[in-house]
Amino acid sequence: MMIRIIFLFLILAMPAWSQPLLADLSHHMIAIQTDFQGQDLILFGTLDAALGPEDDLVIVVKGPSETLDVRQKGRQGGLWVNQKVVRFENIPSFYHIYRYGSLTSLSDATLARQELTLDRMKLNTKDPKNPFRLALINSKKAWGLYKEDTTSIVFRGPHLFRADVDFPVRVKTGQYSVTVYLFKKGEIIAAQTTPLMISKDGIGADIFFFAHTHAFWYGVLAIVLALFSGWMAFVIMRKRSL
Amino acid sequence: MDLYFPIAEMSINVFLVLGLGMIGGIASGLFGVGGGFLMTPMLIFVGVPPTVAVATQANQLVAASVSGFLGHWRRGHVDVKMGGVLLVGGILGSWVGVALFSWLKRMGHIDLVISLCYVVFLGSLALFMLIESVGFMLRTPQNATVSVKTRRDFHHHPWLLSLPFRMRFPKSKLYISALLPAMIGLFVGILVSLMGIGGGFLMVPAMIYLLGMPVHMVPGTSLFQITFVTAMVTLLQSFQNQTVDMMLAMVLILGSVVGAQLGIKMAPQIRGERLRFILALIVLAVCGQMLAGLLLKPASLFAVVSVR
Repeated sequence: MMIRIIFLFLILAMPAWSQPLLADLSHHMIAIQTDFQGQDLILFGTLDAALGPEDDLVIVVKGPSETLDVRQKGRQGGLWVNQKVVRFENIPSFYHIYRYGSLTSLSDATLARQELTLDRMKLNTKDPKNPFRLALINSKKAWGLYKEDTTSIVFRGPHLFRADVDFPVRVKTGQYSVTVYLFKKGEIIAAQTTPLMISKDGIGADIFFFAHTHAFWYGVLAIVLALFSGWMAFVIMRKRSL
Repeated sequence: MDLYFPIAEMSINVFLVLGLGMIGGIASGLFGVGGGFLMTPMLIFVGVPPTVAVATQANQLVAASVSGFLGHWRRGHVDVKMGGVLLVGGILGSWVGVALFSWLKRMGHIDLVISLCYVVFLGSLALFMLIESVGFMLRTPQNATVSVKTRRDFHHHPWLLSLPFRMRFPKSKLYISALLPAMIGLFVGILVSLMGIGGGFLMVPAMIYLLGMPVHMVPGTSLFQITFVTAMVTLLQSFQNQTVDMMLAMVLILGSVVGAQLGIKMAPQIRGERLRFILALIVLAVCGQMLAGLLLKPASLFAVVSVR
């Protein structure tokens, strides 16, 4: 309902703005609570002119950066052991690309500059066939953290579009950015970036915060709780057996 | 019903976690071991980051072992003096082990060492236990008592008797060198920090065969030592790595304390050799899994791990 009202608002407001691209998210904040299963957000927007066959609309959702090691196993003395490690520093923990259009009219330089395909992401190495790079991207895809999607962007009429952006349960907390690019015949016409915050909330957030700010007392509390529940269980079971 | 665990940073089905806790708890009450050798690999298998699994497991073991310990305490089956000497060694050993753990982690070989420790120490022990318990079950009850006598003779070896710092342990009716239990505690403490287990499985046979403690005193005394060592590891891990997931631990505890009490009640109904036979089979299965991981070509040669 909310979304329909916003759509209606956008339609009414369109003539006044006449911007080539306008987009926004249904929420700018995701709270990870104890029942968190991952969450879908809706991105909606409007274009001032209908997309032609050589035009493209691309949404890139980028998460906070992280550092990962990719280890390769090899056989040594009959055992499979870690042999080689490649470290990927400051790579996005989350990278979703949603596109509408074939991207065929875009030049390689444009694709690489905006990192519009997973193959062209600026990871340690740009060689898309590097096995460590491939392993990293495949793992990220399996966890739902990296994605290239061609079906999520849906048009309602020539101007209005919406896209479902899905955040899986393994998302990292922090600052995300959602960027929408509009290309006409290979040239960038408009780009718009919307921030998004993912943070822990409720008792889970309290536990996480406590663990990191008062590490010693967190440990003490963990022990006391464990001792208490162990003792409780003993008392309850003994009473029942008497 | 799934729950999001804040330190593990993932959501897992609550009933799955409760079930894991219960399995560990039954093992704890039944065999006098911590159950960690089952639960740590299972948590990792479910997808919990290994560092969080090992640390949270230590927290869970505090509850499981104190609850098991109280059960044995009520029956008067705890030798506090012996447990204290084991504990001194155990705390020293866990410090050494934690240092070793960080070093191996930096070198990228911690997974290999964990698997090798499981296979070598737990596997060989389980194999020995299996053979011994099968031999025991095949014999008639009268012959079984003879076997107990020969086992008692083993720890009367002249070399063990010649060690200094002899101490009286009235509860266990022993007069042996304090170095012996301290060394056992040290050795077990090192392995505990490397493998994320309580160490009861290694300590119980050592207490029976090397120290010659009366079998009925062994589970309670080992649980006494494990309670303190795991509490110490929980504190260390919380303080240094922030990898103890209190919420995950509490759900595991809920399952495990119920399991532990069930195990204690089941224990007297099963004969000792049969108990050891079952335990040996379970441990061998876990070790077999680890060995397969080392010997078989992995499905993917690559592993992605986050760098903290």
